[in-house]
Amino acid sequence: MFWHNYKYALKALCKNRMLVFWTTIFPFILAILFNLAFARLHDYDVFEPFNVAVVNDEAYQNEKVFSEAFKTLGEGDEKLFNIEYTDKDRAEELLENGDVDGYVYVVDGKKKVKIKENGTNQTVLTMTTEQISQSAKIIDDIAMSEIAKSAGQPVDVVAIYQNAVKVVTEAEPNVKDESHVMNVVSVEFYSLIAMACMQGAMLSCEMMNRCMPNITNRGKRVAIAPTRKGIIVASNLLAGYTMLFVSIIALIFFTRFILGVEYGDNIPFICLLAAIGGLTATMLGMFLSVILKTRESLKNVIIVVVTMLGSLFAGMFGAMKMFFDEMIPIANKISPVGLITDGFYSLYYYEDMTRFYINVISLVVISILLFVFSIRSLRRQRYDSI
Amino acid sequence: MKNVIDVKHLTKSYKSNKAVDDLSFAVKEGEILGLLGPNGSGKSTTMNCILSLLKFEAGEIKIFGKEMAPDAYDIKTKVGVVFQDVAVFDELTVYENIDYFCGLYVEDKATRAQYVEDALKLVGLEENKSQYPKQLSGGLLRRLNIACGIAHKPKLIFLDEPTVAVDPQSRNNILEGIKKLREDGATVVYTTHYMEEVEILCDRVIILDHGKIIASGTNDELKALAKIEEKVTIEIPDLAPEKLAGFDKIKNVSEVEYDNGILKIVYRKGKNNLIDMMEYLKENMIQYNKIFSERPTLNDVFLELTGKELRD
Amino acid sequence: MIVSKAFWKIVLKNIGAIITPTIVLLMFGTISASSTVTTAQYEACRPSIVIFNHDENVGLTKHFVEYLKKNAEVKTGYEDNDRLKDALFYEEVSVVVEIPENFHKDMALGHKPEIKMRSSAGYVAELSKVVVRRYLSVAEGYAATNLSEQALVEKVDAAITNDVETEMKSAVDTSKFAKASRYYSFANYTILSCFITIICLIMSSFNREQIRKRNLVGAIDIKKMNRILLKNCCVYAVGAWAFYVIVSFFTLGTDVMFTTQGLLYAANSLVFAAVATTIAYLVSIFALSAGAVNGLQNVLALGSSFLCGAFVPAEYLPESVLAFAHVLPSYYYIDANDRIMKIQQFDADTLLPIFLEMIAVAGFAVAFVVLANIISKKRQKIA
Repeated sequence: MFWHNYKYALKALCKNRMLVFWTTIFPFILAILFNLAFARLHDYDVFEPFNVAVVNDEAYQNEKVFSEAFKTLGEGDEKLFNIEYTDKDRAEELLENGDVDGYVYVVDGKKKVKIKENGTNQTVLTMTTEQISQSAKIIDDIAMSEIAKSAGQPVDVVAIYQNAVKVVTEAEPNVKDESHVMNVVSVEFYSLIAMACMQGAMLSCEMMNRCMPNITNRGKRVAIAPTRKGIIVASNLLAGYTMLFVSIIALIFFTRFILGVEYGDNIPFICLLAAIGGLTATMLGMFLSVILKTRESLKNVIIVVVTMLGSLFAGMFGAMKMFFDEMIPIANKISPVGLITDGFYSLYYYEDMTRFYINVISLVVISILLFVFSIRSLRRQRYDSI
Repeated sequence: MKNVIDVKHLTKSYKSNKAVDDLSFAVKEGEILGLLGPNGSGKSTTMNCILSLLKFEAGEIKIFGKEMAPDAYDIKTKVGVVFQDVAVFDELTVYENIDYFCGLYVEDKATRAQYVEDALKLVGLEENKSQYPKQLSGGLLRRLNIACGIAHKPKLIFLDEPTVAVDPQSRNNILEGIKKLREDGATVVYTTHYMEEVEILCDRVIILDHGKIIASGTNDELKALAKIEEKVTIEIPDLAPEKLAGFDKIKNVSEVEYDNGILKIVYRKGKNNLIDMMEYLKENMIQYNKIFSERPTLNDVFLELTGKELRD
Repeated sequence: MIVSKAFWKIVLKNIGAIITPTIVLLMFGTISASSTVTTAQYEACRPSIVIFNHDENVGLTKHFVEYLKKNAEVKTGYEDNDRLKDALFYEEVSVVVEIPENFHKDMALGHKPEIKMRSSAGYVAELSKVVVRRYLSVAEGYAATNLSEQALVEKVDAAITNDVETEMKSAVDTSKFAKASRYYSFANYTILSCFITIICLIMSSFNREQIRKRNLVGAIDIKKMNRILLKNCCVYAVGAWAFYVIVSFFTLGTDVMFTTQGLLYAANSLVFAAVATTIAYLVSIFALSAGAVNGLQNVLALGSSFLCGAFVPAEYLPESVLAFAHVLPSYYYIDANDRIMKIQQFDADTLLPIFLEMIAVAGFAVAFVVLANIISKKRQKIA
């Protein structure tokens, strides 16, 4: 009886175009859109060299160290700029026409950058110029103090400068970068998987409606059949979960192997979390379907609102998680979306697995609670009205 | 003959509104019982209470001599229900739908396959079995709905208005099917507000209004309740007023109405009414074209008992 | 009259479908108006830094901390490690700098003490790291020349303040309109999803009504009815557009919207509202079910928003995506928004491209209407 019902429930699900669209096709479409839209956000460090102009007048040429250093930035395979050496009027014209993002010039030994508007390239230009200018000053200072030390003795100025340049260019600040920077794109895909999990609520609500006599006529048929309600409910939910699970796993593999999203070495854990997250969403859908005594369409709206609110708290729409964590600390501790997102996050971001397991266990506990409450409510087998 | 259903003092309210009020009746084995009443008279509520779908305040319900309960699976196995609204899966074909619902009763696959074929044949959907519900016309969809409810060959069948908004061909098919089911030994409870169907189909009728039984019995027993014997309609193109007044004086006549060349006469109980009237026409040399006489309908009975029409 | 009445009844019935995208727009509008950090635009934003100083606050250490305070916003209250991690993750903190014990002494001795740094992801974090590294490079460069700590501090101070002067050619602060651009570009999503949902639902329910009415009375001429429906669709579209514009006055501020740019944003979005109406009209011809409309609406609205830069700014999109986006009216609408943001002076050079793009969007609208008529005629013949 269980498998008879399961077989037909799954068959009916797979042929329901709307449900298939929302649980399977829609997340795939979003994944493709994410991939297209975030493709270039993937790597910050790959800067395309951009055009700058340099006013190559006497004042500029006098700044020997500075101009030399600047020149090197426009050379080689990893060059930062495409430099055009020109005069001030032409530079101004280039800037005005948008042919260059900015130009550099020197007045009375003071380096100046002129840009048209704010932007990434403009900032890179400004900061790089500042850095070169400072390095040039240090080199000058070091060389000067060396020359001063010689106290009038004849010195090899070139050698001193070369030495100073060596000191400065080789001076790599002793910084230990312990950043564990998460690929922003991965985060987007984590939230996408969390969202796909939450479709389970919609699915299970639909599956529950199908066996509830106060909601659908098919439910009445099921209710008068000599089959235990528990068996029907369980096999219906399992059918819904099967479809959900298959589509989530397909989504994970699609994004990982077709779109090439970086998930780290955590694929098994991601699948585990997705499987449990999907289970919690399934239980949530069951719970809401059982306790809400409204029309089918209104139920769906409520489920959408609950999942959306959860997603909002969990930071799916921009970085608002911190804000909500401080305002309503409990929200993300009990909301399935919050726990799923936090699970993905901790999986990637924390070295030890404690936080991950806390999330997983919370999800399991919530699933059990939702299940128990739903069953208690379901056992009231006769209805006031249908 | 045994009672298949025993309902005693059933009472059910929706909030302050009493839908079923101290209802008691029995259904005998092998009969087709009609539950007749206007919309909102409590027919469906009674059925749902019997099926243990609804809670009720008071009363006792026995099916096959046993207390009915939500988990009385041995009773449920022998019951089939055709609900008022079509309850099938849009995503499954005709065959799959019947197989699915039948499968909730019959586990053995071979038996089930035979049962499904029988059901398809009964409702005449053999040619449509691989179609989807959306491809079926309204009448065919109703037939599918019936097939889903009775495929497991139940001993007791409830049909809740199965012919609402159905074309005549499908309606005949449905009514024939129900007769066939009874011939095969099933007991049928048939809920409707179409009195014609009840007259054709049912062995016994219970008329409900406001949750109460206002009359019950066979067709003839019920019609005997009506105070009228028959209604006669005569086409008389031209009738003088003094001759019209004469009709009132004929024996057993209770009402006379003349309008637009049509004379309608309602008779109280009595014999030879039509012969008396023919004589009067002859004596007064009244020209007439057509005469026809009708027996009282259940609608007339209902009208007399409640003062309102059965159909709204 | 009865047609119009029924029209607005259906709008009210489906109000839920309009409210959701509108609320998202409102939230987006208010959040983006109040937030300072976005990847969309570098707005000379100050990175936020958390300092864990294990050294005494004297000498070079003190100078380093002062430097950081000058160049970034130093935040406190992140002693809890988990909280700090979360703050880094959500880019509330750009960089955490850990100054080791004896930093100032070791530095002066040329020992190059190790500074620990943790940063968040993103552009601002990368900038903040440069800010920190720059100081250390300068300090280590001078430290190599055996100066006293006092002299070192002076030298470093002189070098580090030797800032390059940046001149901005534009007089207008584009950041003022950056938020307006984002709001209006985001409206691409809101307008498309609301319009498609509402207009399709209404048209499909009227197509059902139409048949019923024709059978019953035939009192209303079909052509007349279609005209009334279209008129009401336009009333709805203009009303919804006006609502979004009015909302923008509140979320973006009147100083942004009561400008020529503000007017251009409003005009541009009106043209886009027109094309969205025609898209919705085109879709409605296929008389899809409510579920299918919902799906299609999401794909069209989200798809065009992602591909044309309503969510992720166009400058971050790959060339190939942008090249493809040229076939969508949303691209021209969003691109015009970006151009409006960058306007510094109103002349032919700056305004012409904007007007051309508006005309392009209007061209799409005309094309969709023609296409809709062709298709609906064909469908009639088949029927």
